[in-house]
Amino acid sequence: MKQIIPFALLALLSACDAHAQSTSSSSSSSSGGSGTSSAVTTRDGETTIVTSDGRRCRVVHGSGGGTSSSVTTHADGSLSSSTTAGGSGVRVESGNGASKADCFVHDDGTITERKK
Amino acid sequence: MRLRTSLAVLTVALLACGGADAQSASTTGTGGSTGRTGTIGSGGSAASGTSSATTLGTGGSSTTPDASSQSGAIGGSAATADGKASTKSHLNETGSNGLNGQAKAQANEGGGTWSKSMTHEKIRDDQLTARTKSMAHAPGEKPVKSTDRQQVDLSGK
Repeated sequence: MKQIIPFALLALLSACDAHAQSTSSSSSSSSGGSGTSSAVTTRDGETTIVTSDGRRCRVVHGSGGGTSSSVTTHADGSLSSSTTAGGSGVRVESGNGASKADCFVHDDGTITERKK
Repeated sequence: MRLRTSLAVLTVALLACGGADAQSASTTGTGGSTGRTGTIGSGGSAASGTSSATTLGTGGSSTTPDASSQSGAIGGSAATADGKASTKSHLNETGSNGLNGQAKAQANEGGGTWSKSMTHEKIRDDQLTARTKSMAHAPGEKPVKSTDRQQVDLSGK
């Protein structure tokens, strides 16, 4: 029994490690799985729509007239978006089951609020 | 003693390995304003097994005595090793200093393992709203959900 336990532990840890690699590779559409992302931004009558079936980094951006918004699709499938209006702004990041947000409410860009 | 220690380590390893398939859902949001200028954002992400779905959006409005401007951005992302993943995003202008946006993302691995997320946003010159709902499910477990709702009043009332 004493001899079996270390081998069982080793095999188990190897199985865990293999699973982690499998999970990681599945985030790429090249592994045979499927991935998709889409983003859209609009401002003053101009709308840009970007749809990506791959995992390429895409940025769409609209600005002018005192407000500006953007969405970025990152290679790992996560997304980030930000909007500024005057001297204030917000930024949201989400992906892989986690999210966080920053809020800027001063002209000097000081972060006054951060949530996870 | 060594046997006990090995069994304890084995138990911890089993729990750690089992946790790799855990389902999770998270949302967050924020907003702020100064006078008639404000911004808002909301986003969320869900994951279960090899599936993951993420949506988010931000928007803002700035009104001065001379002009009013609104902007917004919204997007979604989904992926899975097996099964299907899909996203839809749209952001339309209302014609009266407003934007309406919606993003949906869902990934279905099959066998009861899935993740999905939705974000809605409304941008007006006097009010900003954004909300996100993210859900994930794994076989034999209750679905996990997370919701976020943000609202910023720019009416000055």
